[in-house]
Amino acid sequence: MGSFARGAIAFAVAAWCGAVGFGVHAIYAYSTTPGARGDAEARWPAASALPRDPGAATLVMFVHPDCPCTSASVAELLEITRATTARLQVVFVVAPGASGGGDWTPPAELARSPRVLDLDAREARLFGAQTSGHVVLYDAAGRLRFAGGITGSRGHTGDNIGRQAVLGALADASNAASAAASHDVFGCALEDEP
Amino acid sequence: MSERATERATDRPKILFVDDDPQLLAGLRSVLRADRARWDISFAQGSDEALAQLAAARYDAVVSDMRMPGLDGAELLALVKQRVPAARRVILSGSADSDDALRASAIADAVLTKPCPVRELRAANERLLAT
Amino acid sequence: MTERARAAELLVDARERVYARTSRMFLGLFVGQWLFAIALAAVTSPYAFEGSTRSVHLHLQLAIFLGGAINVLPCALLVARPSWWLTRHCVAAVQMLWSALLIVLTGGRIETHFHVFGSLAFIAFYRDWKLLVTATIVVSIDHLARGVWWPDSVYGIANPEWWRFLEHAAWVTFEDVVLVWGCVRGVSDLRETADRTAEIEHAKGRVVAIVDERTRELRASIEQLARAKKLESIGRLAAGVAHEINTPIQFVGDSIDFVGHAVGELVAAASRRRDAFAGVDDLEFVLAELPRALARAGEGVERVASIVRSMKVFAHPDRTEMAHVDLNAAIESTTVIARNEYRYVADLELQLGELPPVCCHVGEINQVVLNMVVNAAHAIESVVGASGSRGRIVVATFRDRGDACIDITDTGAGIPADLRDKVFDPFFTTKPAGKGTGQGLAMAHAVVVEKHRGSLSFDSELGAGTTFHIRIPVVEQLEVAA
Repeated sequence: MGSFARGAIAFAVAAWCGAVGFGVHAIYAYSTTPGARGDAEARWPAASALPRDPGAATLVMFVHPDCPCTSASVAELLEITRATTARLQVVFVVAPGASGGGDWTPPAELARSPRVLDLDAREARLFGAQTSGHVVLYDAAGRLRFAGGITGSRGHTGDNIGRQAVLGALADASNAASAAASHDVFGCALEDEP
Repeated sequence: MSERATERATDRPKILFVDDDPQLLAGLRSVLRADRARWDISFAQGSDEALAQLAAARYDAVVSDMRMPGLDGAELLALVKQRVPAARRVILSGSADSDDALRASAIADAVLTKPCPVRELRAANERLLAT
Repeated sequence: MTERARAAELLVDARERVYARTSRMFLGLFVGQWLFAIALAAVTSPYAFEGSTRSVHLHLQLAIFLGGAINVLPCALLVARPSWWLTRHCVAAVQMLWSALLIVLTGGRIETHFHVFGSLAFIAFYRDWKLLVTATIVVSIDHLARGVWWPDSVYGIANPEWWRFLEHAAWVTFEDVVLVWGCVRGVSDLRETADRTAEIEHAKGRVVAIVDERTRELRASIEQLARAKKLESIGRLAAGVAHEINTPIQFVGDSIDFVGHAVGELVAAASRRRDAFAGVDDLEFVLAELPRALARAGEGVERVASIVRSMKVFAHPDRTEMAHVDLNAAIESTTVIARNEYRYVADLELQLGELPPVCCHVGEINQVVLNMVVNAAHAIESVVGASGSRGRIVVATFRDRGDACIDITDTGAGIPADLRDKVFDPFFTTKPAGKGTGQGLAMAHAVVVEKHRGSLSFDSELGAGTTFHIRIPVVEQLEVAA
């Protein structure tokens, strides 16, 4: 093999490594860039029209009906409901998205959880939710225990800090002194850019 | 011994030459004419004629060709041995065949091969007739 | 090529074949994975949203463009150089990238992680354990990258992912160990097969060589047989001719003899009478020429007789017994007889070595030696001619193992290469008519080779001379044919 051919191959390999590295970096950067989130009330907002079980913790998940990343958040939520022994009321708040939101359904195991269509994003603003998959957890006493995402990256299932935090808060429901936990949320924006 | 010697002095040894080829016999007759004083030489063309002559006279030596029609040389000499045991038997053969040579040497006192120079022929006869 | 070198070559061939075959599989796999990734992204995550605003999901873009990009290099290499080391390592790296890409595209489904383990097994098809190292390094870099850009999955006290990572690493290592062992075993199987194939090829080569050698020997013996047959038919012919010629020669000779004597006597008797030859034309010439003509006729008959006699050597084995004789003494007397033939053209030197008594037909051996010496003299004569210069004939005897050897060397013209095959053929002669009968060497061959089971050969250099080698076995007690 001539030195020119050798050099050409080395250049091609290097260029390819660069392109692939860039692509891989892009996908990880995309996956791990958190969505926006606002602050939630430390106590259950009285203005909220969402149903709440006074004898149990209430978990509200805000979903974009068309976003493919949402399914990962719902899958993680399912993991939480399976893992916890605490009584837990799950409420889905569905943004209208592009399809209107009326057709969105959770998996069968969570089919009995109430779904609220949040056409004017009123509930989302009350709870500081701006990204699909955003979760807020209030204990039975109405105190905020967790706010944020429960996936490790965008659309990615698997163990992550958010899920652990929710499960920790549920197990430790009686400890009123502990502060509310939070975690980055990964997903599509619930509302159009203003 | 002395008896034989006196006999030979009064009566020349009789020698019979046998061959199927008359030319050969004629050649021998001419060359051996020089020996007529000491030998009484006869010729027989073929074995049948030879047997007839053997019945008619007593020969001291028979010199025969090997390959002849009818009885061949070896067979003829076998008969000679049977009928005239005292006669000397000589084969003068032109054959190069090894079987012939073997059979000839079994029955003959001497085997000479053609072409045989006349001096050898004489020497052989002299030697055989002397014993 | 040695068996070992051939085995090494076969092993390289076998590995190349494995590489090429596995590369073909990967070429298909890469294209298949790409199409699968595009279809998967199109079905599960076609769009991303900002509220009601839809855009093509990055997953779909990455499936198409990043998937295509990572395939470009390995596919190009697979087509151009399917068994090159760089191709193989590139394939190993890219297959692991596909694992990462597919895991991302399926949202981290645990089932998709099986792709990693399947891919390692596929890579092991190359039977090259180093590729597993490359693949493992790529997996590690992927995890490291995730540690940097996606710390959740690696870091964080409350996060169990850090030990899960080690668990994954342990399983990958476990599979690597098994697969490396498999690769090493696979290569040793290939090596064993190569060794065996080389061994078989080597054995086959030996068989071919043996067959060649046997064929050569067979051809030589066929030639020898043909020569023997030729001699046999010549012998039969000679026997027939001898028989037919001998009788007329006998009576022609007898008749000439008689005529000679008769003419002598007649001339002697007639010469006493002056008028006995009255009327004979040119009487003096007739009287002078008559005895000469008869002598000439006698010599002619003798010459024919000698030819027939020498032909008879072929016709039947000599009945005379073999005897143990002193060959040196026999050769000495033979060279004395031959003196007339060579004394004007050459000097003869005897180099007689120690020889045990040799069982042979001494008359025939003498004849052979005589023929050879006469031939040598003729060969020298053809070179020196009437120039007055002299050649040299050496007759040497010596013992070589079980053979008594007689070498007869002359400084004659040598035998031209195209005639060397023919010198032992009966009736072959280069001498002018009347000088040679063409029987000498053929007769020598018959005597030495057939009767004495010896050998007869010669070395000849054109212009320098010829040496004939006669070998006669000493120890072997030859039986006289019955």
